[in-house]
Amino acid sequence: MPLSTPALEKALQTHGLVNPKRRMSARHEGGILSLAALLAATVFYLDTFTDIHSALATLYVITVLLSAETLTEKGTLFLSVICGSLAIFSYLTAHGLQADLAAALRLTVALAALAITCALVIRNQRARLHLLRFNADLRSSEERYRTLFEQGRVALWERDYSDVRKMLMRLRADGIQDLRAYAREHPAFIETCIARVPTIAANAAALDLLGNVDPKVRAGDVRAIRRYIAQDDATFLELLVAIFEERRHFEGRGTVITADGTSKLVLLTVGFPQDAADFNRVVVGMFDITERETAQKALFDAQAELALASRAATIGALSASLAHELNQPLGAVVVNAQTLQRWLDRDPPDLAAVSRSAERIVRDSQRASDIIQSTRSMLGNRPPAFELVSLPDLVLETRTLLESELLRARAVLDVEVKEGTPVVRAVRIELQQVLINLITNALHAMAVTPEAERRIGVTIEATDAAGAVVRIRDTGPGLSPEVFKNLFKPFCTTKETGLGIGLAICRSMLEARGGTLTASNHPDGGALFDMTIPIEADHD
Amino acid sequence: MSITPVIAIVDDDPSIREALDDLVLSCGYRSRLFSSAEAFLADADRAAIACMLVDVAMPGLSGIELQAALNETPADKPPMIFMTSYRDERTRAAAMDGGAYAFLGKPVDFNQLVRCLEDALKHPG
Repeated sequence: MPLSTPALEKALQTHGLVNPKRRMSARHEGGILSLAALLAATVFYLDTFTDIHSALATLYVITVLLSAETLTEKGTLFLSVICGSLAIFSYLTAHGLQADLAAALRLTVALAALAITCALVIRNQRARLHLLRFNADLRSSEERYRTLFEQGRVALWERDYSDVRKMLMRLRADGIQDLRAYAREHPAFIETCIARVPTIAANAAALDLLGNVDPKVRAGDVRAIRRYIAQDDATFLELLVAIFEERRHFEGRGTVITADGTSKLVLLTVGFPQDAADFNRVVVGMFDITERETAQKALFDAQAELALASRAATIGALSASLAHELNQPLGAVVVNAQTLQRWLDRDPPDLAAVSRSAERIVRDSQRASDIIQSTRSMLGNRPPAFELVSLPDLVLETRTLLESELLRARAVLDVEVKEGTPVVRAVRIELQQVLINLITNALHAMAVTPEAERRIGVTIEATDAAGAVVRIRDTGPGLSPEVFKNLFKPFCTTKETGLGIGLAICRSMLEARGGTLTASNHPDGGALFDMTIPIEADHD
Repeated sequence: MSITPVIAIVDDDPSIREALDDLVLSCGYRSRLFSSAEAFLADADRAAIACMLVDVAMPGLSGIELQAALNETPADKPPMIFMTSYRDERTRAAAMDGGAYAFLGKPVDFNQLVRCLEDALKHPG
């Protein structure tokens, strides 16, 4: 029988009875099958031709078990049926059709054992097959992920946030609710966290982003990458807050330092896993937005410069034309007044002439005043665009606009929106101009403040009257009495390059719509500017 | 008999014209008013004029151009006192080169103008 095994096996295989995916060597498998066949033959012989009164047929089970690894589901079923048939055949040979209760019972037990074993083996096989398929799927999924990771054009890092997550969860369990406040109180906190986020892998695009990095990194020692990822504290803190609040996604802007020392602005996106256990491999994507930012910055600078230049030009042209227009009536007033004096000084005074001069003085003064009036109405006759403005949105948008200024000044801008802040109807660009002016002023004022303390707080809340107030506070030295006195006067400036018309224009712009702009020093230090905005702006 | 000197006032602005007219009157002179350089040139009876008060910037011919036009005529030219709101050196030099008696800024210094006027009448040219 062992001699015919290969042929038999081939035949079995073609009928789909033998598992084509061998896990053991062919010889090994053949051996097992032969052994099983031999065993079946022995059991059959003993069962049929000897007179042993026991459930010998039960031993067929071993045959099924032995060949379970090698046979397919169909094969196992087939083998079980053969074994069962052999047992029945032996019974019939020995006992014929006479009822022998003990023998019949033994046969039943043997058949039941066979059936149960067959069922168990098949179930086991199915489970194994399922597991195999699952493993294969997992492997190909992992492969796809690797391919994506390695060959994607997006710079990707795998970083281990599990340590930091544990730390944050512990803080939360300790009752910390506001992580930002906690970070403010513990200046070393962020640094500690950064040190606890090791980089596990980086793809080719990530290394390209960094330029010619350390050979150690190229060689796969990605821990050396840490010094390139200069996530600025503010962005990293926001990322920590996202983990702290168990958000699934984070997006922010950060800086990376390339190998040649230049810094690049990147858009940072992080998808956090649902399962805490997976925080050991969090994928961080970075898009280089330096060029876009630079272009945007240049555009913004150009716009600001243009606005300033046209403002200056307008003022220049305006004052020239006003000076010219006013010079005539005012000159006439002066001459008339002095002539009047001469008529009075005569002996006797020429009162008729005095009266004539006085009339002219009145008329010419009136003319001067008319000129000013008409200039004002000429300036105000462009119809302003009123729209509904959400102040929080406007402040956030302005912060984005000034982001590079804030980064450069190493200052943080916090926005706090108190409940019940109304939407106002106003000229959006005017409000934004005022905001830009005040925030830029605050940044200039904080040049002398230590970097870690440069903070601009913008608070938005409703006022008692129908309106809202936006408070802008900085951590600069505050307003000196000297500066304070002239703050809102035109052409007063503390800056080398400024025209000094900023605050004066800001105030008049707000006042023209029924708002106000006031300045004070905060009791805890720093300057505080309050701009109040009515819900419904005045239409001139 | 003493003839009351006649002062010509050439200025496009009526208020200034009137004010200067009154001033001249209070000084004891008579005046004749012209609203432009062209109006002055068109006047046939210029011989009686003892002195001129001229605005520099006027629509049409400017004060400087009026001076040039008068310099081209053979007749004697009365002393010219210029007044301007634009105190630029070039215009001033042009006026003085053209033989101006004085070049005053606007708004005019009253006493300076009166003194200037009296001097010009005493020592014409």
